[in-house]
Amino acid sequence: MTGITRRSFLALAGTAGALSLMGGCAATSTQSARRKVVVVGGGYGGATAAKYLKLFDPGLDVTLIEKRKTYYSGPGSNEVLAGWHELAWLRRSQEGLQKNHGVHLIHGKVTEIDPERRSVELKDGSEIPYDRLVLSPGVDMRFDAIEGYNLKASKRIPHAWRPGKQTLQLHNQIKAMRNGGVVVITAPSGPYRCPPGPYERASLIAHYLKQHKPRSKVIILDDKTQFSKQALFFKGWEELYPGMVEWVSSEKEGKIDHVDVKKLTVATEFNHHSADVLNIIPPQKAGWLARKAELADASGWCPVELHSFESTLIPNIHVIGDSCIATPMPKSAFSANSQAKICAHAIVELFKGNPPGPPSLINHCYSVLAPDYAISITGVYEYSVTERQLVATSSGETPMDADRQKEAEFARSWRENITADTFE
Amino acid sequence: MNQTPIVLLAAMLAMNTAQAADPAARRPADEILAHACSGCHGTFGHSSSPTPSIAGKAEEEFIAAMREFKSGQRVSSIMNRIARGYTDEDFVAMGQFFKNR
Repeated sequence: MTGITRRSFLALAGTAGALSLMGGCAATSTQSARRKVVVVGGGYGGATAAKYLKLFDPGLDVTLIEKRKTYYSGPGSNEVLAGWHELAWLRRSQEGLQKNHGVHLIHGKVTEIDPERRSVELKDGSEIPYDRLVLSPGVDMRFDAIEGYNLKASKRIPHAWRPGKQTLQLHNQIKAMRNGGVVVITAPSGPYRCPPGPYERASLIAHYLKQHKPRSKVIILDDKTQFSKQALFFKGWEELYPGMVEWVSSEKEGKIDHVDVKKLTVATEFNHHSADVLNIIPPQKAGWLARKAELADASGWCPVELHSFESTLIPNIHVIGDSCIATPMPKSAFSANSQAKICAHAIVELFKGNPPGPPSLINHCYSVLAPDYAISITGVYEYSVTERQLVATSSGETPMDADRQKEAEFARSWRENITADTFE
Repeated sequence: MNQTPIVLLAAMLAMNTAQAADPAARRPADEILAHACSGCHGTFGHSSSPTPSIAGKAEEEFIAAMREFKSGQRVSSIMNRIARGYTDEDFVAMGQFFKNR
């Protein structure tokens, strides 16, 4: 930051935030044609934001910046891990947003954000100015959280929590395992991407093992005492993979203490486990760019104002998706898609000089346990003035007696529609 | 003794607790409510998968379906959970939004 100290900037930020609400008052409709919004991160959050900004106001100048040439979807990645599809099946392209909606698409890495000059700098040195910036940078792993598991260790023992090469690496390790081997998965505590993901992963690994290495098993060492859709997962494991999936609560064995990636062992506070294949899913934090720009608080995640998803720390920057704090919404593709629409709508209103209205959001997440067996969790959210956060006006899981095959069909349909709603 | 009125009362109370978070607060704008649906039903309610399209649905039909999902009269493993999160006014707003899409 230049010309102004961080402290004085933060002191001003509160006022600036209020002013930024008013900033659009002077704007006329013709000026709105020149308003520039830069969106960084082309996943479910960022791509949806870019698309809906153009749907809500086609006159906006919207640029979407994604660092990866090839982006892979998180939803579905456990199915690739289980060998049901090629990795390419997860590939999602943002090019449709350019063709169908006139979003400028840039493949490049943002290295710097200058909130005073309102511009982002790319690795190639180019600068892109913005009136408002939307960040959807996903998650980073906390490599300082588990003794013995750091970035280097993750090359040998993949977390595979961001889909791509690591998904295939883990698949190949399971494929090479002996019949009768043990796959150990550690599940993190604290907010992390896709709360039911570790348990879906255990299910789909069990599906593979049941067919190819039936004497093997999966052990989940959990840093928590309970997890998402727990009763439904227990029922599913009993029905589909009896005796093959074991869940170990931290209530029983204590927290995960340390990992030895060479010996393939995990020590909990009160026990010790040896694995044939080890999958460490570490605790997580907001994506690098959000933390570098000082948009994250002490929790490692980014506080936002929930009518607009504008950062409460730096004005004119919005944070959506996994990186933001939108409790009690889980960190999921569906949440990111829903938050992106609220954020896009708010930005258009702010440019018109209107304060953003109350938000309404949905999360609906499927977990697939077998090709014809899925379960889901749902939440409908709005802002509570009294609680000053989002609250669920409805939430629930698949009823115990509901048709799991039908839910599996819904899960496949959902994937098609959310892909179109986000990327096309 | 006929217990029906007590059961009905209990059901009404249960429904009321599932209404708006702050009953006095302003409801979200029509399009804000409606665009959340597109995560499953497609942009503007146009589904490109077996999930039903809700675009172009007659308003009365939409509202009636949502009320039935909310009350449990019509059973769906997913829509019952979703519908309970909204007020009857929300259903009217969403019905109006989707009818012309």
